[in-house]
Amino acid sequence: MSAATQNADGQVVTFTERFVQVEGMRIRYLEAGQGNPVVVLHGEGGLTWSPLNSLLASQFRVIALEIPDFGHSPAKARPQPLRDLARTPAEAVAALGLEHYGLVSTAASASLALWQAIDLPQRVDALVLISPIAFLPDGWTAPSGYVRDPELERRLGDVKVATLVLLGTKDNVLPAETGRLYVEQLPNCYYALVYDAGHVIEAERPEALFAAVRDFLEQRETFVVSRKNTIINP
Amino acid sequence: MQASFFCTNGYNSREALGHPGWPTPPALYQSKIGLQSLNVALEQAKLADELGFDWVSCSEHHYTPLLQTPNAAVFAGALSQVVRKAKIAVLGPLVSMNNPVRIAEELAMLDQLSSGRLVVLFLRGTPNEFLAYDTNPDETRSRTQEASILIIRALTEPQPFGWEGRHYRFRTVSVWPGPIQRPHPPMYYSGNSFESATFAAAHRLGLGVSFYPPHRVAQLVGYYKQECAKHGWEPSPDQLLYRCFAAVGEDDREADALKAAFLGMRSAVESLMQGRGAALPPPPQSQVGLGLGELRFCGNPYTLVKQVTDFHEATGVGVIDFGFAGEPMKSIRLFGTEVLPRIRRIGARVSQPSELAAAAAG
Repeated sequence: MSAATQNADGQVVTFTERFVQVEGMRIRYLEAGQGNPVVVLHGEGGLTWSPLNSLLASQFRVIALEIPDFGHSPAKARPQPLRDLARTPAEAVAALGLEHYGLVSTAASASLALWQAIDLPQRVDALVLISPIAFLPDGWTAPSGYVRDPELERRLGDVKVATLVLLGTKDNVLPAETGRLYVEQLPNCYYALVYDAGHVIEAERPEALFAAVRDFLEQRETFVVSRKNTIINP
Repeated sequence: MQASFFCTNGYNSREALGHPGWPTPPALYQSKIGLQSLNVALEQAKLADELGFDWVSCSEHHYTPLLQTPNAAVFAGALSQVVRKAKIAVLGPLVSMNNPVRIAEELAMLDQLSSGRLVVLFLRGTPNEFLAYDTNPDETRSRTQEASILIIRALTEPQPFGWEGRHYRFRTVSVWPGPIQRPHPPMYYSGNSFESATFAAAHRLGLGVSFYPPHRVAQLVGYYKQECAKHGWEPSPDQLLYRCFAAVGEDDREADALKAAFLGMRSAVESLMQGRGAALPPPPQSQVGLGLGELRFCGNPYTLVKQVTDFHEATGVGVIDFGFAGEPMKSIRLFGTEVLPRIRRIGARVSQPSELAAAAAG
């Protein structure tokens, strides 16, 4: 099955639905675009059309994986540690022959992405956590989809890969200040606020989100350097 | 009721002030007069402080001898060294046309320079000023809003962060020094429209209204309070700020003379919207009587006390930022000795019951 969507530049992006066999399970994924590979893990809404994915597909090869328990992909036997759950998308990516890639997660899939970065540091070139719900500030009410993982919290110092955390200034699911916790815990972490966006940043400010994610995936730590041309006339 | 002295740092030359239209050519600037004017302004600020004014204020304006403060932060830095007790009120930076991170850094420095006495109001600017830095006037409302949020974030965020805005992008913000007052100095938002009042209420900022007549101020304040209630909070009287011009004389005759002199200077204020300033439509507030260039309070000290009392009762405003007409040193002295002690208790029953109780017990 193919799904055609338009990105912000009006270009038609066609995502192709495919499946990959991993650990005896048939994992669904959507793929579009060319270039350096970017693996995307979805949030609570499941693997659906995503403005961010469409924009990313204009510059990258995007592989948006369905996490077990969601949509068409079968559930893993429960209960299981998040670290084990994280292994399935990692194996799926390996089965697709990707040796290294940028990894982008949204909301609760942040824990899976972080575990992947800890367990497979040689594969993950850059990590982007959008509105991540991997851990919360003290006293904050746990949002839907949040599963506390004390082991992951202990291992955050092992996330060596360059990481970008993005939060909306109007996020009412978790405070924007959560971003600073990641900076304090992860050795190589940047955090940015997307102005005037809520928890689902890509729904409200997809271009702003894309610009930050694109620059980070392309440049990692040097994404902080502006190359904006300010010459009006030569 | 608190009183603020609006230190305009005006350039003391009839020739320059009488220039028709905006901008005023730099050719009219004489360094001797400029320096003299600055020293007078600093003396005024010092006197206001000594007489017990609660705030001494300044604001950013461009290309005019009326207010020689194109960078309010620079002037406020100087004020912070001569004003020892009063708050240093930057009312304010024109946030629509400056780098918001730079503003945050300047505000933090000013809070440090003043040992935690800074007060700030975020201003959008009058239309002529958008020409100064080539700012698109159609974007100034949203630029002001975004910049204000970013400035607050920059002053409060303990870790380096990035900003992906509509008008601003910064990948690394990490303001140093931080403000002395935590989480940040008292902040106000220019509230001359209902849209601005809505924004101020939503972000728990004080409201600053300027020049409007009392009924219009009351309307805006009432609306703002309703909006604050929607967001679950109630502003205190000192979060309601009003800026205006005033003339105070020993008696009514002297006050009338000051009024006549002030009205004679009105053309200098009106000239801001002339010349290149006329290239842009005047602020929409003018359609409902902005009152820029009007004397809101005028009379002998007792008349002024009555007028300020009536104004407070009509509007609920708890801080008035006075720009004085005529000879400011004399007005500051007269106001500070004869008016200020008598308006101090205005609103106390409403705003500071504990203080009243303490006074009664004492």
